[in-house]
Parts: sequence; C-alpha cells; structure tokens
Amino acid sequence: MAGVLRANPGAKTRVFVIWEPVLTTDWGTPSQSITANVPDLRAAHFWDPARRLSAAYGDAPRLDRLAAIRHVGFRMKDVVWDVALVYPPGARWGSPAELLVAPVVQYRERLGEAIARLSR
Amino acid sequence: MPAAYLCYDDSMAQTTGRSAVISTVASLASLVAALSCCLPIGTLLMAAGSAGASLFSEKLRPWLLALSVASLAFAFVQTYFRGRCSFRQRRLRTCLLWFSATIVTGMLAAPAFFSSILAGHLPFAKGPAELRVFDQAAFVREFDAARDQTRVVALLSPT
Repeated sequence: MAGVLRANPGAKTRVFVIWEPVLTTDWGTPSQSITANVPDLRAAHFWDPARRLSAAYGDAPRLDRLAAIRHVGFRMKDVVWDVALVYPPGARWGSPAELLVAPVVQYRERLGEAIARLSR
Repeated sequence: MPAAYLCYDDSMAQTTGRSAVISTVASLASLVAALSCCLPIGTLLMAAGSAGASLFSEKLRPWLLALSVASLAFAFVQTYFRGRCSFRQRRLRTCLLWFSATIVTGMLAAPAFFSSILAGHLPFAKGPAELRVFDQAAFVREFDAARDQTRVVALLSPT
C-alpha cells in the first residue's frame, strides 16, 4: 500500500487503512507505530478490533457485491481482509467500489493504475 | 577433542547433530512462512514472485506456529538431552537454535512488537499518523466528506 501511494505522489486520493485482527498473532491492540507501515499523509489509520467494517461490507460471502471489478487471489473464510477497495470521486458510502483487489500485494500494480486513472 | 570425551560413536553423533539442525531449520522455515504477512517477509515473497501470502497463511498459520514450537522443542531435546556431548561443541548450531527460539518465542509472546521490528520501525516510536479506534459513523462521515477525491479503503492484518 505504501509503495502504491509512493508511486502516485500527486494523486488526489484519500486512503483509509483499517487494521483488524484476523490472524492468530493479531491479539492485542497495535501501537501507534503501526501507522509507519503506510506513512503517507493522505492515509488515515483505524483500529477495528470488532471487525465492524468487514461486517458492514457483509463479510467475505458478499465480496462479489462490493465492486464492479474484482481481483481476488485467495479464499477468504469469513472476514474481509488483505483487501483494497477503490472508490471513484463522487461515490458515496454504500455504493459499490470501482475496483477490489485482494491480496493487496499481489495486485498492487492494478491498484496503482486505478488510483492514477481515477485521480487525474 | 579426545575420542573418549564423546558419549557415543561418531555416526550416532552425526545423525543426532543433523536431525537437530534439520529441526532447527524446519522451525525457522515454518516461522518464515507463518510470518509471511509481516511487511519485510511479504516483500521477500513479492521478490520471489509468490506474492499473496494470505493465500495460505490464514489457514496454515496456527499449524506453522505449532510446527515451529514442536521443531524447537525437538531441537532442544536433541541438543541438550540426547546429543549433548556432540552438539554443544558446535557453536553455530547452538547459536542458530537459540536465535530460532528467540524469534519464535518473541513472535508468540509479542507479535506486534516483532512485526514492527521486522517492518523496520521501532515498536514504541510514535507513528507518522494517529491510530484511531474505528467508529463506523465517523468513518462514513470522513469517507463522504472526501467524495471529491478518489478513496481507497484497505483492510489489513497488523501482523
């Protein structure tokens, strides 16, 4: 994610990074230093211990309704995670995203392209 | 070292030493796989062309961590109980074993701490941005307030 933003320094983009516990080792609240993983000033960071955003998205079974174009490289059991959704300017909360990629690292180029295209 | 100092014959010592090394390496390898969501190792996987660690780590991670612990236990038994005479002389093997033990224990006891170090930043340092507790209403307000821009929502695991 950090690399994608670095590659698009001028893109008029707002990034919401939601950290949520998914893996066995995700117990405990992360420290503020976790924001250093995506240090870009355009990014806002949230800790979502109850995985509310994933639930608001309808969790993994509803993944196919979240975006017009989806690239999903792994099977999510229940929680929506390791995902990036790109919303075009003008879209309000609740409308489908333009692009969904998961895992982020695998589709970072498509993510970067979408950000560059939509932020022109 | 005088031959009489050895507890058992050379072939047995070799076998024991080898299995201890194998289990130590297995421990490290399983740990590396278990840590695959950590940024630097994720980067390593990217470089290797096998991006998408979440492909296997969600399901396998508990097993890989268990395998790490089991491998470590085996290596310790081999080192300090079964092959004590031969193995203790090998500084590199012992160092590798204790290094693995430190990493595995650290990752289990303080995963966020170790993830920060592996990601290249200090765990107690203040990050460049504020980490807020997620509040859906506030999030939606911020999301809609930025509707003149492209928005990216990323849901990620901290470790």
